[in-house]
Amino acid sequence: MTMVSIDSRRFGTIEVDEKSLFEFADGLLGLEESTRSLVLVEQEDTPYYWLHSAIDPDVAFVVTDPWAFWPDYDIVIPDEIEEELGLTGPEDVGVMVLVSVRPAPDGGSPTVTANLLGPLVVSSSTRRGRQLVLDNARYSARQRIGD
Amino acid sequence: MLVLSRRQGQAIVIGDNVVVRIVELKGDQVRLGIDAPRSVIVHREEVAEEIAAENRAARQAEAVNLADLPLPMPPPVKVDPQPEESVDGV
Repeated sequence: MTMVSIDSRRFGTIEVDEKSLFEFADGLLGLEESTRSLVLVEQEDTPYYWLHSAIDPDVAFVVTDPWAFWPDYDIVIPDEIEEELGLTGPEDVGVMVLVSVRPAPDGGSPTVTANLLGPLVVSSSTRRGRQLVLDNARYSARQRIGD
Repeated sequence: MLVLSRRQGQAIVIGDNVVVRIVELKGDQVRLGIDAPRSVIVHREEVAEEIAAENRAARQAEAVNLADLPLPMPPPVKVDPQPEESVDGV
């Protein structure tokens, strides 16, 4: 097991098994350089996780399992992406969506939204991942969570 | 940028195996038909831009405590039916 050190502004230095890193060959849209290598940090007792850049200490995202909030969320993974990621079957597929938290200007509860239009798909075995661009008018890049 | 004029029904070829055809012209709208291998991912520019903007917005989650974020709807609480109150003697 090869451990790697990741610098994080939020967590300090994280030591993780190299094999636990997710490799996004193209990164996330608009943030390609800092998001080619990401690690999922577990957080107990919440349906949310941190997805942290292994490249930039300042880049971290809150992510969640879309089906925890929207049980009928429905995506199709194109064959070529299945191939690119080396997905072997349904149990190998991980899907997460990015969560944005926008503070209320008056200090009230923040607006929390999930990006259902650009889900992240990863393979648990090959650790390769990609952000999908769904062309589906049913889903929003800013779907409200809560209320 | 290469700019080409095309009429309805005409096409342009990109590389060896991508063909973009003008299927229909209607007012200020153009319908395009795209023939490309499955490995070429095609999507509307504004959708990718919207996702990129939202990715950047999601990055600023610095002061967020995950425990403060909303939870999914919890399973409904089971309540035993109350025994019916007797109305005798009212």
